[in-house]
Amino acid sequence: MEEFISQLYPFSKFHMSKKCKACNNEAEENEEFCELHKLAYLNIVKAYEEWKKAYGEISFNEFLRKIVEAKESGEAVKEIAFYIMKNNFKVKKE
Amino acid sequence: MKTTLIICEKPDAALHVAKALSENGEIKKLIKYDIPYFEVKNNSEKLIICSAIGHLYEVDVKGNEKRTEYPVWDFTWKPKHLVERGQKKQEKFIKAITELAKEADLFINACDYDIEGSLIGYMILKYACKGAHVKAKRMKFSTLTVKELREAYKNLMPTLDYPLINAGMCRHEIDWLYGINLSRALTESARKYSGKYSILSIGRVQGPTLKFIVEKEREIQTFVPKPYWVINSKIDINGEKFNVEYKLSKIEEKNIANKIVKECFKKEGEIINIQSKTYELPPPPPFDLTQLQLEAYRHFGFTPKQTLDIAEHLYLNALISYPRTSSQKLPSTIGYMEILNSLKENSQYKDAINELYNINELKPNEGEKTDPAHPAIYPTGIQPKEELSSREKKIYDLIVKRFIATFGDSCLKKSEKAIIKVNEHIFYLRGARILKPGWIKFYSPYLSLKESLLPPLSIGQKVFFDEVKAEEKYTQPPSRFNPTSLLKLMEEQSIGTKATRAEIIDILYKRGYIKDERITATPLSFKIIKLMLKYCSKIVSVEFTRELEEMMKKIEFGKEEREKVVLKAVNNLKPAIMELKNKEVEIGKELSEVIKQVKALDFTIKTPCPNCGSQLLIIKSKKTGKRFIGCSGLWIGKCRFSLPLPQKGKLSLLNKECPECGFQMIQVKIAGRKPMISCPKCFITNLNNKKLTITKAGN
Repeated sequence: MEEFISQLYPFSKFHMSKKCKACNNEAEENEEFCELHKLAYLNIVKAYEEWKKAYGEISFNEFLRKIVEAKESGEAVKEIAFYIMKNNFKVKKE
Repeated sequence: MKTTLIICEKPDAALHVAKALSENGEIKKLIKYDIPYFEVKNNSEKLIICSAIGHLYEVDVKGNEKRTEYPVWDFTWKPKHLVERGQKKQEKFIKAITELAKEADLFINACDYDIEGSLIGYMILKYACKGAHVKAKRMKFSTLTVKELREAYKNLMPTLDYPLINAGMCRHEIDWLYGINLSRALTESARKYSGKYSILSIGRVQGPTLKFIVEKEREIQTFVPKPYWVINSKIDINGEKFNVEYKLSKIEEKNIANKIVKECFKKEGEIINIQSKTYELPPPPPFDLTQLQLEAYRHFGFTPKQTLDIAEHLYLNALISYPRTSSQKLPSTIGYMEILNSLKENSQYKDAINELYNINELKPNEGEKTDPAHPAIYPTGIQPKEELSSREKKIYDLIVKRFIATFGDSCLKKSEKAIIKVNEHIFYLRGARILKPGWIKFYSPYLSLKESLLPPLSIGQKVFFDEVKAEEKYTQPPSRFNPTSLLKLMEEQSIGTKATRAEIIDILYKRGYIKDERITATPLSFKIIKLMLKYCSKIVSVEFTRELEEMMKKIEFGKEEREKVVLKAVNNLKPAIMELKNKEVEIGKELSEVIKQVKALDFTIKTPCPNCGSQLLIIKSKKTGKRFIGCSGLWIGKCRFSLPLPQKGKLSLLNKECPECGFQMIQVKIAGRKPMISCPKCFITNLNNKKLTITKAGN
């Protein structure tokens, strides 16, 4: 059954190899995300500084909520923002 | 009596040539192997006019190697029916032409005058007519009008156009070498790993084109918008409201935006300056193929391929000149007056042309692009003999109006700007008026300029800021390509040719690398480009493709040798293919995984199950053979949610949500009918409500 479902739905938990935390695709070597989500993550971290300047003050959670809601945000960005919010993921400063 | 065999590219063109060259108007239509051809008399000569249906010969592997083996470097030209399936008709054309060639003393290639036409005629003369290419002549024309065809027949080129033929052969051979080796490498790697067969292709032009799309997709998917504020304000002048613009179109900080609002709202400003500028809008150049494709997409939503097909049909009916041109020039030899006089017979264009005659000099506003073989696209002036389809009418009208507009005067426009100061803040009140419409009148409805008239204003005049608001906005992600903007980029980057670009975009859709009109790259295309960059980056390099294109272009002008260019391409391709071959297992594994993902996505609904939140899938029942939407929770006994689906037609999931309930919309296409777009959830809810109403009414 597990094999059958993983064939139908490849992003399911039944894939055992090192997977991206946001989409379950193969993660980059020694990384937590795949190439696309890693780039989205880096862009989010960079953008937060710009958002803080634009609003004067904005909490990281409020910033994430706004980018998840914005129709202009990329899909990968929304997925990462959602993942961080859901899992209290600690943002590393690159 | 001497017999001349004239070879045309398509049957419709052959009929036009026969009509034009018959001295007494008599045309004998004959049939050989089910293929029609024509016989006419001209100056006591017998002319046999036959045609091909595009290419009858194609590059293929030398010998009879398996279709799965790679790399392959030895190639030869073979009849198309021996290379591709379903080409029985082509075989009949070759047989018929071979028979007809036996009785001919002279041979003429009258295929379209470009790389492909020259190559089609050359291959037929060389192989079907058993070496007749050495003594054959070439007919050069840009329209299928009687006048031009007779002129072309009178002034035949003494030999075939070998630079064009060599350029064509080179392009086909290189494309074949790239296509066959790279596509087999990808397809075979995936097949050997998974045991399943999926066609995967990548080519010399396909590669860099797909790379553009993937790069854009990556930018869009990882785009984080930035907030900014715009100041929306209205002023009151003598009881009338006018929108005014703040000096800065974007304010990057919220505090600053709020400060502007505070300092201007309900305040009185003063007009400190009034500026006006008159400028000319010159008429547009006549259409080359790309510009026609861009304009047809903008106004009618036609894809580049659709526009090309329609334009070719109009050309074969002698209504317009040859459409596969990159020229924006209209030489006077085409006879401007004659064409305009003929177009005047159509009441739709009569007034515009009469007005054009009042202009002193009849001179088109030519663009910069040139084409050694053909002028820009123009109407021949011949009236359509048969009723055109609605799509053909649209393209024809666009071409005629553009042709007329290029002869028009410039449009004269005046822009006005009042500068208003309020508390050290500057605002602009803008207006525009058309002083003389010029060519724009002729090009209506394809371009119309809006006027915004300002009231009488004076320096020092006071105005009241009635409304001042700071609106929060976000920066926009890069726009997606559509088929036409992608085509334009390919042209700007000099990859592909005007004749092949539209087809390459179509192939990317067919392979499942891209989808939707606003082009989205699929996970498969990400993987293909990733693999190419990892193992053979040159294949997707725009610079390398452009360099090859330039070398091939030089062959057209006799400045480069075909053999040298093919050799260079092979030398670049060989190491890439060997690398792919060595890494077959790794590549196969990566490709198989992503193919599985893509296939699964075709059956996975984005909206979660409304009952349990699990994934919804399109399932086909083994028992009844019927398809429906079912919940993946079913397999673990958790949920039995399901929705019915239409059983007939091709079903696809759209990237669109239902405005009523937010469920993912579906599309069903049945041949010959308009595609049906609907929400499966609302459909069943509405059906249930209807049943309920009927039951209640019955009770």
